[in-house]
Formats: sequence, structure tokens, C-alpha cells
Amino acid sequence: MSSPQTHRLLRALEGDLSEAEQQALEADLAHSPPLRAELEQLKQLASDLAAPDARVQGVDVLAGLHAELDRAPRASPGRNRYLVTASWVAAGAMAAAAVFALFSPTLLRDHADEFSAKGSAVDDSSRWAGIEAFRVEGTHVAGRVEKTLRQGDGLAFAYRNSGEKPFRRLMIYATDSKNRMFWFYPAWVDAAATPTAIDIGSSSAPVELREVIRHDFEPGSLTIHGLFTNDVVTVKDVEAALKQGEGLPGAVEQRLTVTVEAAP
Amino acid sequence: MPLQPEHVKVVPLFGAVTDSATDDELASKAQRGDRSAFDRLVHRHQAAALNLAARYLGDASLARDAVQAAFLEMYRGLPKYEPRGRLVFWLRTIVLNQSRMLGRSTRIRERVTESYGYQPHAREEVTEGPEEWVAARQRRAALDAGLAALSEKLREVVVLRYVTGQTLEEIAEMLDIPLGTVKSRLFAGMAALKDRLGETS
Repeated sequence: MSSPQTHRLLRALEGDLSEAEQQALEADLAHSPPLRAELEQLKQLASDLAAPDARVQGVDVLAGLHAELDRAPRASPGRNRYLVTASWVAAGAMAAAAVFALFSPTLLRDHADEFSAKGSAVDDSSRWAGIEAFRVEGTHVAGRVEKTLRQGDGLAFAYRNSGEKPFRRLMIYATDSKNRMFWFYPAWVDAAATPTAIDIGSSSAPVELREVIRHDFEPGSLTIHGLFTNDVVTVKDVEAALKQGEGLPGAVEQRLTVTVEAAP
Repeated sequence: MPLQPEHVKVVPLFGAVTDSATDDELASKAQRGDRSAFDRLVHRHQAAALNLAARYLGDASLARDAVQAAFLEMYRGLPKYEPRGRLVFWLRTIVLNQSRMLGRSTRIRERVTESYGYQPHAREEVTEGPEEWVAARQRRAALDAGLAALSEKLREVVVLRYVTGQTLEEIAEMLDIPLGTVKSRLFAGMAALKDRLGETS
């Protein structure tokens, strides 16, 4: 039960006092430092509540949502329109299924460079996941990234995530020969923010992530990392783990090394 | 630190995020099966939805789940949506319902405590000003704990009023309760929160 004084101040903040009540309150405030302090306290509380919650800033639910929608689409008369406009996985990757199969945990030992399990908590026999990278010229998807990229190319990605225990989150970033990191998912454009891994759903079909991202890569070797996890991992967690040369517990990482060629 | 953030350019493939289409125009397109229109609605409203859910649930991971489920419900409900300029109102109602359901099935108070003890980003943030950071962090944690300690009825009114910025009348309509009840719940909730924060400081 709030005190009458607090109740009065809260009513004032909501503009719920009559004119006479408001005048009486202002007179009391002029002579009562504790009352002024309490009013400031309530204003600060309102301000704190209204401030954006840093824990969810930069979070994007779209990828996970797509996976859910693709798994159980809504009956709709025009449902194929989306597939027509967003068919770049099929157009760009003629053998996408075969490539994803490379990342199957059953082939883990034979393809350690592409898909390496880190930590002991992952039950690899129950998961089947991988990413695909696509090279984008302008807004045109030029094809699947295999061995080379050209400076100025944009990158788009798709992922597949299935099995008995699919992962819940994904991060995609790249590292170059100078140990620099370039983030794709989540986007990290504000040093003050700490974005976290994006949510993903379970899907045996490739799920397209809907943005083309361009970084100024230098010519040379570039490794693209797809990190699947169930935890709310932050970009700073990954950066710290890389600096220490350690993996993240429970995370599984796929790597694709390409050569960036100088722009003509 | 993010490397060369000025060099990062994010180009939406399917229409600019800052478009001038109204919510109802996008909803109408989505009703006809245009999922890129639905994507634009998600892009437009997910930050506010996540904020609402995170404050209500006190947990970022649960908030994601609630918001994802809410957009899914919204998508499936689109065929019945009548475009009368109230999509945001509808979405907030769904987010709140999903948050309630998730909150009831989760021990929120325990999660808040875990969240308070887990500080994975301290090294970077402390460099910006240790005392301010610690004070802000403690205030946020106390706020989370205070919200979690409120009853569901008080918490939802406080969150709708101050996190989403809805008017008292809108809250009364959304929750289908009298305006006087909204006020009494809001004042009781805020007073309890103020007391909680006072104890912490």
C-alpha cells in the first residue's frame, strides 16, 4: 500500500490532480526537500522504465520466425509470391543440399576444417547444421561463395539447422590474416552495444538471412565462421574467446576459408 | 570493439526499412501472401515488442521467445485482421499475452537473480566509467527484481504505461478493465517499485 504522499505524487505525474490539488502540491514541494526528493525518485523510475532495455537491443527475431513460418506456413492464396522473390538460395546454389551435407556431424571427423565441435556439451549425433555464403554484386546474387571473393562483393547467408536437438542461435563473422574480425550476424555497428547471437529455428531446408552485408576486406585469406549455439552468446564473448584461443562451451563452429581478390 | 563499423553497410534486399507504407498497407499485402511485407512489419515493430517483453519477463532470452511467438501468432491471425489503424495495439496485446504465458511457466524471480549475477561484458563497459556503470547496472538489476516481485496485474500496467508509453485509457481498453482500476494498479505498482529501489540504494 503506497503512502498518501507517494500516491499524490504519482497522480501528479499522470496529470490526475485537480487544479487546486496541483497548486497545493506545488506549495508543499516548495517547502519540503524530502517531498521534492521523492518526486525526483519517481521521475527517475519512470525514466529508467522508459529507457530501451539493453539486453534486447539489436536482437532480430526474423530469422527464427522465417524458420517457424516455413515449417508451418499460413494458408494463403498468394503464398508463393515470397518464394519467387526470394529464391536466391536455389538460384545461387545448385548443389546446396550437397554442400550442407558436408557439415553433417556424421562427417565431422573427415571435415574438421569446415565444421569443428568445440566444448563437450554438444551432442553431435542429434544435430545437423551449416551455413552457406553467397556473393552479391550490387543487389544481384552472383553465386555461392566457394574459394574466392572479390573486394567490394557483398555477402548474404543462409543456414540449415535440423536434427533431434537443433540449435537455437547463430553467429556469423569473418576473420582475416591480420586477426581482424568482421561481423555479419548479429550486426555490430555501435561500439557501445553488445549484440547477441540471432535466433534461429529448426529447418531442414535452407533459411535465407535477408540482408546483404559489405565489409572492406583486404586482399588475402579470409575465414568465414558460422557459430551455432543454444546460449545467448554476445559478440564480445566471441571476441574474448578468440583472443584467448578458446572455444565457447556448447558451441559448434563451421569455417569456410576463401581468398579475397583485389578489385579490378 | 567492432572493427571498422563505418564500413559496414546493411542493404535490405526486399525494400528499405524506412519506408513510408503504413502498417495497414503492409498488413494488407501480407494478407495477400506477400511475406516481404510481413518482414517489414517485423523490422518496424520488433524493437518495441522486445522491449515490452524483456521488461515484463526480466529475461532477454524469454523475451525473444515471446516476441517470436507473438509475431507468429500475428502472421497466422492476419487473415482476420481488419485494417483500421490498430495493428500496433493488436501486436502489443499479443506480445503481452505471450509474455504472460511464458512468465507463468517460468520461475521469473530465479532468472532475474541469475541475470544479476551474470556480467559477461563488464570488462568493456567498465572502461566507459566504472562508478556510473556499476550504479546503472545495480539500478537495472533492482528494477528487474522489483518488476519481477510485482503481481502480474500490477506489472503489466506499469510496463504498458512506462515501457510502451500507452495512455491510461488505452491500457484500460487493452486489458478490458475500468480506468480507475488502471490508475490504482499503476500507482500501487510504481510505489512498490520505488520502495524496492529505495531499499537497494
